[in-house]
Amino acid sequence: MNLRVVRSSVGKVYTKWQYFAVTGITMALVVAFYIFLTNVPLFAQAISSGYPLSTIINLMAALVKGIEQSAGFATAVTIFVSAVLVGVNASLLVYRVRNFGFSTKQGSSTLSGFVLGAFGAGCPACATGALSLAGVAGGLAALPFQGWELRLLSFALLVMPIYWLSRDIESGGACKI
Amino acid sequence: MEERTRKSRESHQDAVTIPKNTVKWVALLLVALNVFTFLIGSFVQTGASGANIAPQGSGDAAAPPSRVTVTDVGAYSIGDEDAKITIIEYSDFQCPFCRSFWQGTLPEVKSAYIDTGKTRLEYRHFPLSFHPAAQPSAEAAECAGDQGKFWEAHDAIFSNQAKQGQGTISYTKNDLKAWLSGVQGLDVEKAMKCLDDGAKRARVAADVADGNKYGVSGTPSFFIGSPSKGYVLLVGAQPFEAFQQVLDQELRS
Repeated sequence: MNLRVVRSSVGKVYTKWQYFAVTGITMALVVAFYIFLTNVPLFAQAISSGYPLSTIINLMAALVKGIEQSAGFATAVTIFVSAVLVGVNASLLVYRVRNFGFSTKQGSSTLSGFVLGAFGAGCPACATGALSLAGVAGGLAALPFQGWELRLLSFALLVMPIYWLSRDIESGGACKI
Repeated sequence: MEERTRKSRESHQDAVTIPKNTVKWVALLLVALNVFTFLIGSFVQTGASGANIAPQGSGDAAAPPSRVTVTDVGAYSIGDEDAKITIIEYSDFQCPFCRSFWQGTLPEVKSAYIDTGKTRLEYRHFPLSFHPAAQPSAEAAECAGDQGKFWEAHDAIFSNQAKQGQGTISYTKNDLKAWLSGVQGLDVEKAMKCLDDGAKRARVAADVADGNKYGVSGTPSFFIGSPSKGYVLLVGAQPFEAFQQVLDQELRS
């Protein structure tokens, strides 16, 4: 992985405030996505009980505020780092599409970025779910590094499309001969 | 000979050629697997807690979207018996998140809703299998309850762990005995005999069975509502603001 390529393309993208906005909005969506998925019964019951939208939004905000308290420091850090990486993916993706279009031939990186970006938020908790499904008592805590090994894998999966998109941006959307 | 060499070269090339985007698709596949396990896993884990999975639960961990009906079992509670709303807490004495709720959120909930008569808090046991001290602690608290000291024992068990730091604290029956000896007016020997006799084992097991039935998949889990209207399930050591949103709405409805 050529870090110079990533640094250069990220430098190009973050020259306009719109791309910071895309990153920020995406980060908020990622965190909201995580909160929603880990509290599906609560939101379903709240909606079926006729809670007003304002209450549901406030409840979501309260749950976001309490991530560290309810999930622990490690998970809170994981979610934050994942959200940042997904946000950067989103900004690079928007830049790539706006400047070079969405070609199916060249678009595998774009597609990869989109899929990884859209669903990567699941990674922080997926390992927990997978382990509990496998019947591992203690979930991530049962692993030698308390799940940090899986968290780092998740981060790596989110860094890869950043590199692919950066390479596309650096090549100007053209195939190198 | 030349033909054979060419074929051999082609065969070798076939063997080592990796499709251009293989790495990307493998990564995508990994993520798809992650997403799949996450979507399922989010229903079987305890809220957002990475440390407190309760895989032993046989109940429907994905609680139904409709409100949950919880039957009264005469568990220990604080607050006005006639309060409009009840919070039913399923908790594990060795669970750090349960301790975090006790330490951080409960005092605020108590002063704003319980002490004002709006809400009652009921405590039910859900000792997790990977917390070996949780079961004896639950039984010991019930034994102390026979002497009218349930909440004092409850507070003593959590506060003594809090003194030892953060995360899951390991402790023995002797530690438990020492902690309970600090509870004023409690006959510790009698409580420990009750614990050793297993007099409260069935009582705790009944709570766990009920919890599984209601969809408790980890601790702490809170059912908030009333017997007539049913309950909503709030999972995890959430901040006061989360309880506030649910409690205010339940009080309004």
